[in-house]
Amino acid sequence: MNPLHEQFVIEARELVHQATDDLIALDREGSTPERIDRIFRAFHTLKGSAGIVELPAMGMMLHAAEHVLAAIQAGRIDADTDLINQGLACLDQVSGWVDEFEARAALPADSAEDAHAMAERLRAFLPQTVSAPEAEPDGAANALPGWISDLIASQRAQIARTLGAPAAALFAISYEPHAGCFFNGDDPVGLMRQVPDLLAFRIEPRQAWGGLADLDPYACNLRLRAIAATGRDELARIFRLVPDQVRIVELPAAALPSDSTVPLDHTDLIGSVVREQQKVLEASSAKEDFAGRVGAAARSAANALRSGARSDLAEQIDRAGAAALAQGDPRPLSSALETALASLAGIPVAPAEAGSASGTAAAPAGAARPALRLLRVDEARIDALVNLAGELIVAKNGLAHLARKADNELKDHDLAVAIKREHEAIERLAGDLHAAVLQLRMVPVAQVLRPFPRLVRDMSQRLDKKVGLVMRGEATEADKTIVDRLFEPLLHLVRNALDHGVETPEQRRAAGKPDVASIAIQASRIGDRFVVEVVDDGRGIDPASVRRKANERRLMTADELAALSDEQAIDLVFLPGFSTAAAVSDISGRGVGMDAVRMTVEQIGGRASVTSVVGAGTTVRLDLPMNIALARIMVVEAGGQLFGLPMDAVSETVRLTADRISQIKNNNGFVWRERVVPICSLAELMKLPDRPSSASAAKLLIVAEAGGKMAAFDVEAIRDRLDIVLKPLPGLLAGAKGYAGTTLLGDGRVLLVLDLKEFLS
Amino acid sequence: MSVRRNDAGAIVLDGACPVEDAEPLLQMLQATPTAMLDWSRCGRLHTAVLQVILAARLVPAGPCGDPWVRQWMLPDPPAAGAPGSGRA
Repeated sequence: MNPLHEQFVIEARELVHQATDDLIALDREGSTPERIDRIFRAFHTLKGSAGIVELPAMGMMLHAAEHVLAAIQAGRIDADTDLINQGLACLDQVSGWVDEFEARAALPADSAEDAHAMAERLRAFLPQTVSAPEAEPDGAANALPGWISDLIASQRAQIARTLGAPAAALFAISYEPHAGCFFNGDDPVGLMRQVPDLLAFRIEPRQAWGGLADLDPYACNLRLRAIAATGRDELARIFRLVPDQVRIVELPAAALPSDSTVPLDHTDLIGSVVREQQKVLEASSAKEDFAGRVGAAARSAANALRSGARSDLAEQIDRAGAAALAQGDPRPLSSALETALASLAGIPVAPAEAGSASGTAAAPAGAARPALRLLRVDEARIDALVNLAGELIVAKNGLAHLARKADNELKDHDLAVAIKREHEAIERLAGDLHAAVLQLRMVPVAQVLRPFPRLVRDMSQRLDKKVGLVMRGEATEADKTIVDRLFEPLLHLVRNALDHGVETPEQRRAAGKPDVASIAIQASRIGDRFVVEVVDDGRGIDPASVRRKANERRLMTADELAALSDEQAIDLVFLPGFSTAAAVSDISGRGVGMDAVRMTVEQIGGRASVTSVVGAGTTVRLDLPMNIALARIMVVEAGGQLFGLPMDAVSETVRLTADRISQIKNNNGFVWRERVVPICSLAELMKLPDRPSSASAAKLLIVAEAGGKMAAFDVEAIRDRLDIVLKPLPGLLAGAKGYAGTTLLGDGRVLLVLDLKEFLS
Repeated sequence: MSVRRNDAGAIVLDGACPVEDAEPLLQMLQATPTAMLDWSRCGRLHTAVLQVILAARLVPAGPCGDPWVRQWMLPDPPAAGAPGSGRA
């Protein structure tokens, strides 16, 4: 795949995501002009990109979608759920094709038929009386489209210069080349050069120019407009390769002022454009095209005023147009047009805010768009960097060892101090480097949350439930590995919430709750933990029913179950083979969900817990580390050897005198925070000879907790606390139970890091 | 390449300027945004090159060597070269 194709695939996926989000927001929160604009732009850009990589079927389908969106934009049709479903289906099709294109650099053979069928389904939403947008109304009653009167006004001198004998046919051309057209080998001005009998030509930026520093010389940001006395066939031939980017509109001969040989005062001209818009407003009172008419009139008048350097008046027109749209009444706009005309004629009217208005108008255009500079880097390169930074941390531990050696063996205290100082400096730098490198791997959780609005929408439709999905803290960042692994657990949790948690609207009404249930996915950072919660306001988990199920499935005996607190009982949903749904549905309830969630989360060093109140809802909390590349361990000595214990399992270290240790059955144990904690000797566990210690000496205990179980390990000494890069056991040893991995100590020794969870269970 | 910088520091467009010239021209303008741009000897300008000139918002020196651009793209009014449109 060439870079252009790669870029297309990346960009198309982003656009599909964005358009999907906006379509769903449209469905949930209703229509706003900005939202429709954004969706339109996404489809438009997708269509353009499809053209660049030469996928005509995709372009054709998106073209049809664009028509529908344009009709929504103009207020001619409403975006109802059916239409949104169709829009999403269209994006699904694009998404599928993009995958196909990535894999095979081509669309499937039947893509043209699929595109055609989809385009037909989309077009069915268009009102029958509306023809395709290219066929702009030519009738004089409808006045000219704003851009044409604007063009005539601004290029008056050109027209005056070029218009000779009255022309038989006049056409206005608006050509908006795709941003990527240069890559296609297009030369838009070159096409214009071919137009014979050109009368007027204007070239302008589609989006106001930013600074030169941000300019992409190969992204076309131009709009070319012209008037020519050339036949339609000839124009069609010239622009045959870019029909989707060109609009050609026939002009009545009278469109060009007959007295155009006598240059008019510029102000007069603007005045006439503005007056023209008044006519447009008065022409019809039909409701259906109200928004379109008001919008077009306001835009045309404002453009004309801006071209005459009256952006103050243009601002007022823009505001009045918005007000007219909002009130559904053209009067604010027509009175603003009146005011503008009076002002042009030199009659002073309400100049109060004119100055400030033009000031604010200039500000957004002048303010440079903050350039967010992004660099796409292969993940493997980042990982190589993470590994190296990790190795550096380990290597730096060697300096501490060297310092001790200098002190103890060489008896050179000054040297030891000097080494220690260097050690500290390098430690700080290595730590900063490691943190900075890890920062590269931090991604916002939003990445993994993207598909959820769509999923929830589709699933709730299938289940006939009404659900609003709320996402909070999408910007919270965590290591990419953790964020990526989060998708499956979250999917299970959201499915569960939808299927089991949320009631049907009838049940909710009966329970005195609003029809629309809420499911929230909220991410936050608490200290150095990354916490993601899935909260629903559904029926909650009934501990009694959990106990019954657990008994039926013989997961625990009735006695054991009775001994559990309600919280502990609810926690049983995480047990393998547990499913609370009475019937297995196609969405969830195969009984594999929750234990898989807990397993996945624990694999990445996290914890999953659930709290629930019957009738009020359920919260599942995933408590995760922010990153997994570095582990904190405690180095202990047992049986004369060193072992590493992961700090996240260690709750506390305690020193106990013999009298506080009691014999419970065959084991030693002690009471700690109102719990009985068994004591085991780490040396014994590791099958090492226990060092005889005097009976009176206090025992050093590491209290560890994992998987809800607690134990204390008897060790001889605590040596160190280290940040290490944990290496999994290689080869034959990989299957050995009880070991989390190994790491190198400063003096080159290999340290075994134990997996306390294995010991506890 | 038809884009170069002369000894006086001005940027000179010489001969036809194809699409590839857009980038070097932009780089020169980025380095010296106020440099004089001489396009009197240029040939046919590609749209991408014109876009850079437009985006730089500068008025190049001399009549444009590309007659089509001279005729259709120069600021107006008054239209350059149009008889009777001189400053009165």
